[in-house]
Parts: sequence; C-alpha cells; structure tokens
Amino acid sequence: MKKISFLLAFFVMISAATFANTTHLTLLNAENPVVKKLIVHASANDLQRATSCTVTVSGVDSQGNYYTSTATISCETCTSAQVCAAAYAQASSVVKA
Amino acid sequence: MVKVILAILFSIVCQISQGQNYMVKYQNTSSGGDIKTLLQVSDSISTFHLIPDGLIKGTEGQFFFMNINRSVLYQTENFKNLIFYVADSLYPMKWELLTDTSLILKKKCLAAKTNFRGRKYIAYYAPSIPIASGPWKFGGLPGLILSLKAEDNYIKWEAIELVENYSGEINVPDVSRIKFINWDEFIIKYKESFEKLKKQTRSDGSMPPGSTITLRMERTEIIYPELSTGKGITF
Repeated sequence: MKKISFLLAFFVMISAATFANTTHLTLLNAENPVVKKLIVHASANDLQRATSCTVTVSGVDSQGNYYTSTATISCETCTSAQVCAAAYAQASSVVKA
Repeated sequence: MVKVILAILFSIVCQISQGQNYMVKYQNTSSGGDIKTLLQVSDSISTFHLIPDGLIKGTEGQFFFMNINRSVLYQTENFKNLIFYVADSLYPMKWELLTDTSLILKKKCLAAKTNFRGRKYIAYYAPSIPIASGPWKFGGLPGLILSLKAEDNYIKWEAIELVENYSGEINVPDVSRIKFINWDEFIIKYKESFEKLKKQTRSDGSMPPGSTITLRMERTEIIYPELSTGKGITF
C-alpha cells in the first residue's frame, strides 16, 4: 500500500524512558529498510518492566521538510518490549511511507 | 500560413529569451541531518524539491511548484496515508527588512526577518538577483533568498550553488484536473485526520491494554500547536 512518500533516512531513536539509570541497547529492525538504527534507553536493572517508552522517528518529504513524530506509551503492566514496540509503531506510522 | 506560424514561433522564442532562469542548490540542515534541495525559477514558474540520493525513494505523485503569474503555490501535503492537494498563497509571509549584511556565494546579501506559521526566520537575500524567490515557500523579498534559518534552529537553508541564465528544463505536472483545497481547509482536514487516527489507534488493538499514548508531531509549519509543541496530545 502506497502511503505518504516521506522516504529518506529515518533516524529512529527510542529515548528517555522513565528510568533513573539508563543503558543503551542498539536494535536493528530488518523489516523496515529505511530505519537506520534503533536505540533503546532503558533501565539497566529492570529491562523487563518498563512503565513507559518514548520513540522519535524523523523523516523528510519530497520538498526537504523534516517531520518528527514522538510517541510515548505508558503502561503500568507492560514489559519494555511491549511499550517500546507500540511507541515505535505509533511514531513511525504517521511519518513513514 | 507558414509566415504566420514562423512569426508566432519567433515571438515565443523572443519571450523566452527575455526571461532569465535561475537554479539554486541549498544545503538543508536540521536535527534530522543534512540534505540538499533544488530551486528552479523562471518568469512564470518556480519549483522546489529534494535532490535525490541513494536513500530517497518513492516521491512519485508529490509535487510542489509555484505559478508566479497566478500567485499560487500548488503542493501535496501528507498525513499518515492521506494525501492532500493544497493551493496555497504565494509568499504569504510578511517581511521586516533589516540592515545586517552577509556575503553568500560572492553575492552581497541583506537581512530580513519574518514570522511564518509558528516559527521565526531570518533570511539573507541578494538584491543583485532581482527575483522574489527563495527556498521552499519563502519569497517575496526584493532579491533571491540565499540563506534562511529558523530562529529555533528547526531548519536552515543555505545556498551552495547558484546558476544564473539557467538553461535546464523546469517541469511541472499537469494539475488541471486536480481539485485543490486552500490552506485553511487543509488545516481543518489535518486536525480531522488526527482525530480519526486517535480513534483508530484505540480501536484497532495496536496499543497494549491499559496503556496511554502521548503523540507529538513536529513539522516546519506549526499548524496544530497542541500536537507540535510541549508534550503533545495524550489519548
């Protein structure tokens, strides 16, 4: 399905999760070739029980304009994987093609 | 009959040769990285677009050009998988001319500032190039804009190449059958689209149960301040 044509490099960062101590994980999203990197800032001692995750996705349209979409998912009963996956899905869905 | 045709052709050639075309390459800088854009200007038409590189694909169907004679900007706008055809005013920003100067591509430039759709900008234009064009939607100054920067550093355009007497083709799509909306109508449709997105997100099962989402979307023109500033919109 052809969606909007923002199709330059998409710099994906998952950042600023609600943790006091952060560590950085680099993930690769092979399903989306326009994603250069996915960086997770998450708790070093409790990666399985995140309460929120923020993802920022940036893209460029055919006029060279930058669009940035930031999604924060908060969920008391979710794992970090759940909230970060959902945040990425939401942030990218409104920017990418 | 042949003489008439030749006379018409000669007249057309004369008209074309009277106008001087320009091409400007700009370096765009923002937090998302650096890219290059291209401005092509004739007497009647102006186009502006991203210069493709290996990372850019799939911009077919999008367009952005100005009919200078009609003072209209024709462009496509997007929200998620929606495409809007927008006929915007040509150079709607109001400028305040300043006395600051700068030398860009060996052209003496003067400064001007404006507040355009949510951001403040400072531009440097070259009075020696007497055309009112510039990068993206910007123009209306007594000279070509060679540098333009948002005060909040969201985006910056800097001319890196200028071709006067540009001889390349300036192609624009045939939009005669497209139904356009104006800018105010686009803003309404943009907000309606976001409301639909909120409902869809809550109903399609893509969110973990018991979760809340805060969405913030930044773009060059701030057309939905609640969504583009602060924390964004929580739903």
